Amino acid sequence: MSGLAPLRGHEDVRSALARAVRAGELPGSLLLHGPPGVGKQRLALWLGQLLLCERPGVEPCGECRSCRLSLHLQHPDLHWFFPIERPKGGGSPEKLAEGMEEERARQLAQIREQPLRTLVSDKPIGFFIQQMQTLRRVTASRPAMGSRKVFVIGDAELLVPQESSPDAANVLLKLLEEPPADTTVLLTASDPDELLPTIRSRLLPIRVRALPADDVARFLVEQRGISADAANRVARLAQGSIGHALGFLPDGGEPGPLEKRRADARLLLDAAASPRAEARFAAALRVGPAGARGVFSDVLELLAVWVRDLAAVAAGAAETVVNVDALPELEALAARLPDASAAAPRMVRLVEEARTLAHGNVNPQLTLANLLRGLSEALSS
Amino acid sequence: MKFTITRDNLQQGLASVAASIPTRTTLPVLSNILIEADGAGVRMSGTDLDIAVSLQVAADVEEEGALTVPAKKLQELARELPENPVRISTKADRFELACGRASFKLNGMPRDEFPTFPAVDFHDAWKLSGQVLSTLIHQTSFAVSTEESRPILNGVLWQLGDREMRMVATNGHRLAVMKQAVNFPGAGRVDLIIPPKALAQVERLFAGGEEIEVGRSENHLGFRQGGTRIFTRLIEGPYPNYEQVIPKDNDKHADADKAGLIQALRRMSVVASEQTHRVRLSFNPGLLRFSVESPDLGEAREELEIDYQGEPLDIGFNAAYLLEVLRYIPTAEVHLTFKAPERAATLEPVRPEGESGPDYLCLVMPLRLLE
Repeated sequence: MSGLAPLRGHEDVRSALARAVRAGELPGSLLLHGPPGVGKQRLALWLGQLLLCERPGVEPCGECRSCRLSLHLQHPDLHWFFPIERPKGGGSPEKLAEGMEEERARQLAQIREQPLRTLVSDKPIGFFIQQMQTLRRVTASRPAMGSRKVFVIGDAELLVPQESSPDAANVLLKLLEEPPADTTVLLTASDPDELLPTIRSRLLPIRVRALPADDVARFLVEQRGISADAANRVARLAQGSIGHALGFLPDGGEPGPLEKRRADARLLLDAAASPRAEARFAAALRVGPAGARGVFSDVLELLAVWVRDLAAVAAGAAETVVNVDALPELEALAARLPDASAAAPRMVRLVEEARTLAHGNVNPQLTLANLLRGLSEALSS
Repeated sequence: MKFTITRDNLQQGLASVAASIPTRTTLPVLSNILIEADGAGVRMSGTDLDIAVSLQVAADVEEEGALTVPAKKLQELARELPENPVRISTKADRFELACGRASFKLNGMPRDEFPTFPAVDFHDAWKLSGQVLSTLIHQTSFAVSTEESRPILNGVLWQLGDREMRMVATNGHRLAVMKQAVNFPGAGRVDLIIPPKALAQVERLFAGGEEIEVGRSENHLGFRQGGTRIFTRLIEGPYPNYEQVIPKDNDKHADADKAGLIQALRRMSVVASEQTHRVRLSFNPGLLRFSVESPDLGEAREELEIDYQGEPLDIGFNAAYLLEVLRYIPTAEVHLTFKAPERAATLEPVRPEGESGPDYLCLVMPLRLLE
């Protein structure tokens, strides 16, 4: 049976956490925050494994029964929650809660089978009140096997899946306000500002950094068996995030999900740089009129990287370019434009504003038409 | 592992364990049943992590060993087998079963993947009759809350003392408490909060008069009788102070015929609001008047002769809660007490003279009456 992918990097955080565990000083609720895909949830699961290990040292022993169950995601006291799609069909709260547990079980089974699965979703996902009620019910029971219960809540910013829907977050808040003594709650978030302030104030924040590109590349070579060249190229794109790197790799003969989004983002850059307004409108109309918080937000994030790369090329710093495979095209584009480097700060700001709109679920077509016009003006002035 | 077992023993063992096996779970191994063969026979165990049921069945063991097998499939299979001895053996993680001229192979999972059973210490176990415990469970656990908002009320409180034990359950609107004299010298008082699902298993498997042993560890409680064991995870305490809500100064007392009360309430509830089930009870000397007014439906009235000598009192109740509580009153006559329309009412059995039984009290919170 397969299980969790190996944990890579973060030695400093690990040793600090292990010290706190040994001294019995680990707080009951932690927030691991840092860039997406760097392994925050994996690190939280590692900490869970350490807390439940029967012979803990600087690291979990990896051999006791508890460790084996943890590594197979089979430990009855290590609970992993993550955002999911809302189950289809409505029904009673009990039905919904069951549907959500089924979906969680399905995804856990998938991770057990394919630990290196890319955690990128096309559909809007979030935490729902029933899921947090299930979690709270489990916290009310004593541990099943060990002496503690550990809860990992990944992508915790999605506890508020959209504006003004803090119901799930508030259920969790109740738990954080009065946590049972034998319970450790580990939240992870790439954007901790998105958490409710009431939740954030009850967590001890721990910063998890991006990994060095070499570490990411080595992981890809060892775990996915790709060539060192390909690994280096992807590691550069991934900017220190193993999760992102996996998203760029081909998946079952298809380009990886992030690779597709990178290509879409590239088309947007081309449209913005086009002298023809119809090219921009055509690009805006290619996205759907709804679902701003899903794929669209990721595309905008990658567009910001393209803008940065274009500016780097224009400023003569081609060696810092992330999208190395497109270097010649970027150079040609920069040569055609008046001063892409000077326009970059304004462009990045525009993209950030568009991301904020997307987060507020504004129609992606409108957001994009507006953004592309702004980028075009910035590039031509 | 290799053993031979009768079809009936196999079926019985599987049926006893089945209730503890979850239909859906995030841990796939829990859909399996653990089968262990040793010198004493064959032990079958299942768990959903909240409860675990494990029992010993007679079998002719040739070779010791253990394996976990998909429980649902094995049970379906056992149901269809002819009445012949069943020969069971394992090869690595493969479970093989032969009976008559049929043979089956099922994919199992090693015992190592199965969570360990709680190490409950039966050394200083409480010993009590299964029947007494079953009565306590039956008479109280119906009152537990099914709402998620206060997980602690989803459990039944079991208080064990030197001389007395009590079981209590409530959802905040109604409460049931039963007391039973015991003799556990020097045990001190222990409060345990138990999921009702586990108690239902205890009631199902240990309802006879035999003595059962109850042991505990820090996080679990175990029940044992013969080769059968039930373990349950405890719910985190402390339980709210329920004694505070049991009225001590209810000065109005009434005795009523339970069946009459139930029938009248059932008729009233037909017309009562489907949301609140509100029914007005007007107590007058010698007479109880029921009335319901639902603006969009209509009205209902009824009278019942009762034994009541106090001042007239109008009090509203959720008929569903009253009916539920009345169903568990074990006697033909019921004793009710009140103080005021906004104060809790109590219901107790009225035992005929010369008969005795455990102290039993139910409490129902009133509903505000609309004038």
